[in-house]
Amino acid sequence: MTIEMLTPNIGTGAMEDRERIDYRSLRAARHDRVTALMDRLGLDALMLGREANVRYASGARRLWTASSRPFGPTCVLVRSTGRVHLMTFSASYEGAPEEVPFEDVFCNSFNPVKLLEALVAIPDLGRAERIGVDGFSVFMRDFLPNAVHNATFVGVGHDLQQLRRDKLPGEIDAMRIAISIAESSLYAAAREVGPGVREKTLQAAYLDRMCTLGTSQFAQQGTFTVVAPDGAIRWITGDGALAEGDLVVLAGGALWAGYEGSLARTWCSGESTPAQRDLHARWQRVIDALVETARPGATGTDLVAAHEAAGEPVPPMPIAYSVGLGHEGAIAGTALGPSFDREQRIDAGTVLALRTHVRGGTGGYFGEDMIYVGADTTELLTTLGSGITR
Amino acid sequence: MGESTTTDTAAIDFARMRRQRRARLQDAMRAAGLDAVVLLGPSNHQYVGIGRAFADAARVHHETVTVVFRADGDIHVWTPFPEAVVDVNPAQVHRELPLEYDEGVDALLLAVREIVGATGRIGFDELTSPMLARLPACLPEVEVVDAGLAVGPARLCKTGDEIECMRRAQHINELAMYDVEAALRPGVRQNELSAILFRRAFELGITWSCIDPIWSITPPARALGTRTTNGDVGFPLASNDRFIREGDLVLPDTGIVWNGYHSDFGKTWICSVDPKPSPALRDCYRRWCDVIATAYAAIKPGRSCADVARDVGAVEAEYRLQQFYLAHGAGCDSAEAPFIGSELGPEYEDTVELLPGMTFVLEPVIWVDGVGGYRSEEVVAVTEDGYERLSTYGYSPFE
Repeated sequence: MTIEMLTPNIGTGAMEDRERIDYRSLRAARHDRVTALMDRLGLDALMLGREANVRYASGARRLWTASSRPFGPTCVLVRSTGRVHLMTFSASYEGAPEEVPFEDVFCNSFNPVKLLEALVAIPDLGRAERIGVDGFSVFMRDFLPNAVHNATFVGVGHDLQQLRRDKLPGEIDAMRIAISIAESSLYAAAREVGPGVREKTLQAAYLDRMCTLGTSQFAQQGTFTVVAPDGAIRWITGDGALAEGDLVVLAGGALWAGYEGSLARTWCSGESTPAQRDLHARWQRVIDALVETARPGATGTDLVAAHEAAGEPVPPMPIAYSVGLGHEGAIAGTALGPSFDREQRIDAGTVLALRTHVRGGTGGYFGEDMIYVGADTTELLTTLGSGITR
Repeated sequence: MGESTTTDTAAIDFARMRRQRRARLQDAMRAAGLDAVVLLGPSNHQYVGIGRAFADAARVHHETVTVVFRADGDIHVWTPFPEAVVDVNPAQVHRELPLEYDEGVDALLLAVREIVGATGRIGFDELTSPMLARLPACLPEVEVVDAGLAVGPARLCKTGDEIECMRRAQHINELAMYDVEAALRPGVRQNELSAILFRRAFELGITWSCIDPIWSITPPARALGTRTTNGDVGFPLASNDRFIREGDLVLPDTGIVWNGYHSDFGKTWICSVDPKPSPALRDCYRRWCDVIATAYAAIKPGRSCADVARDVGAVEAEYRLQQFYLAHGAGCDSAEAPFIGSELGPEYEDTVELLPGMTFVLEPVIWVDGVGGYRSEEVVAVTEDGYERLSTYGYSPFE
């Protein structure tokens, strides 16, 4: 059984008979949830700087960047007025949702005095006593009290992360599109796997296909690396060429409307051997066990136990994490060990990435899938097959 | 290109580059009185020679890599990418900590206490949400200050190796852009241009892309474009699947990165079956050439950032978009200090002296409302007696 989709038709274009995703309703529903969270936490205002939270609360389509984006209050919600104030990097109103009026957009400035002026001009913000933030720079810690004199700042990043984990139906549909793009792009790279092909060329093939399909925003820039003879994997794509019989990790993700679709497979350069196919079978056994175990109420400890019961030691990496508007926190297998895993509970409505890495005398297999955990059912969202079984 | 040495560029010694950067950071930490810095920002990791995979703006806030750098040069790293950690004692390379959780922050701060001590002055470049409460609780005696006090001065002037990295990054970006410019014909979509850029740039060995490629379609008059908070031209606008059509003025802006160093490519192109600028638009380009020549002539060690802006201002009163500047620094970040002709104003910019090794992206814009405008970005390094261009791309279809 699969969960009901608002549209059974996954594609990136508009259709004349119905919206594939009703973004206006989605934005409104997310905003209502954020407002309810503010009430629950007793917040007079929220100052957000993390892209996922800004997108969730405001629906803004902003210029995508990777690398450093130090915290800045780029989205401000004031509870008393109900208004959302958005910072623009281009001075432009383009990319702001229609429910945020032009008057509530302010321009980024490299001059702190001008930024201060913009914040002071936000109605009622100066009266806020309790303000939630999702991060800080030390500069902002020292600077923001100039704009809001009497406020206490509270870190609410974790609360927002928990809020984002419980997916609305429209969010799942956006993730299905992102996953479809990621799968199509990963397979485009897979079809170029062969002796003499360089790792960078696989990455280039992946990104080429992803952009051609309509988004140039990737969830991560992908791992396209040859597996070492002892099964070890590298994460950073290099310049080396594949040899006949090499195993190669293909991992990538794409964003659609900010939502992430990611997956990983291990492919074989040429015909796979029985030993290589056995690695895949061992990986599949673990993933099947994890999918089976990832039910509402299960904890990270349950996932670790299921992994071990499938006959494989847990690799030194998180084996489960929540996904939505990007990464939403690890569930199992972090460096913090069993005490952390015990505290991480899977709730209905969550989308999880499940992954593992098995190693043997002839190499290793890494793969990752995404699932939706419903109240009564679990659905495997990623469907791409494995080239190693050919 | 790729990892190989070419005849037209000097060889890069990555070990020397790591050594020199770490030494500069140590000097800057001593000058700022810092006992250690705790670095969460990817560009700061890159600067101290800790490689990592890159993520997007949403994933980057799942802080995967943490570096504790002590003033005596001792380095501890928490990372999921141990393969990219070089010249660090392997016993001090640990698994990543989930810093979006109290437990992860507590584990980090406990380690900081052991490595640096329970007192002293420590710079942080970013604070995750749980750090707001956990820092005062776990390190009550530590003075938490901005890591930028040390990282900023250290990163201000580039070593020879750093400049060569920037040259490579710019070179690959430009090579890929030849393919893109050839594809800029009526009916192409913005996302298709991104596909061409990425295919070529990654095949040429680029490390990653740090900004969604921009193909801003810019109407000839402000009133015809997007509404803006300052009344100026709205730029840069995020790309999507928009068609680019006959006669569109397209302002590309891309930033792909090679071994941690940023390129910056900005031009003004015309999408057409037969791209030919109007005489009025060509005049904007000529005036832009005068501005850039004036800026080049003004760049000399010993002069201030404000001096350069003043010289250019004497030639053209309006030489930038209001939301930007005449020039920004570049290096491990696409835009970093120092700034020239910015909102910081001449009084501040007069305090910043041009020094050999500083690298800038000059991005003047000449705009004539109703006609359109000309914008191009030029990457330069300040030398002992002037400047050196790192950009080499031409100015078609204006030349």
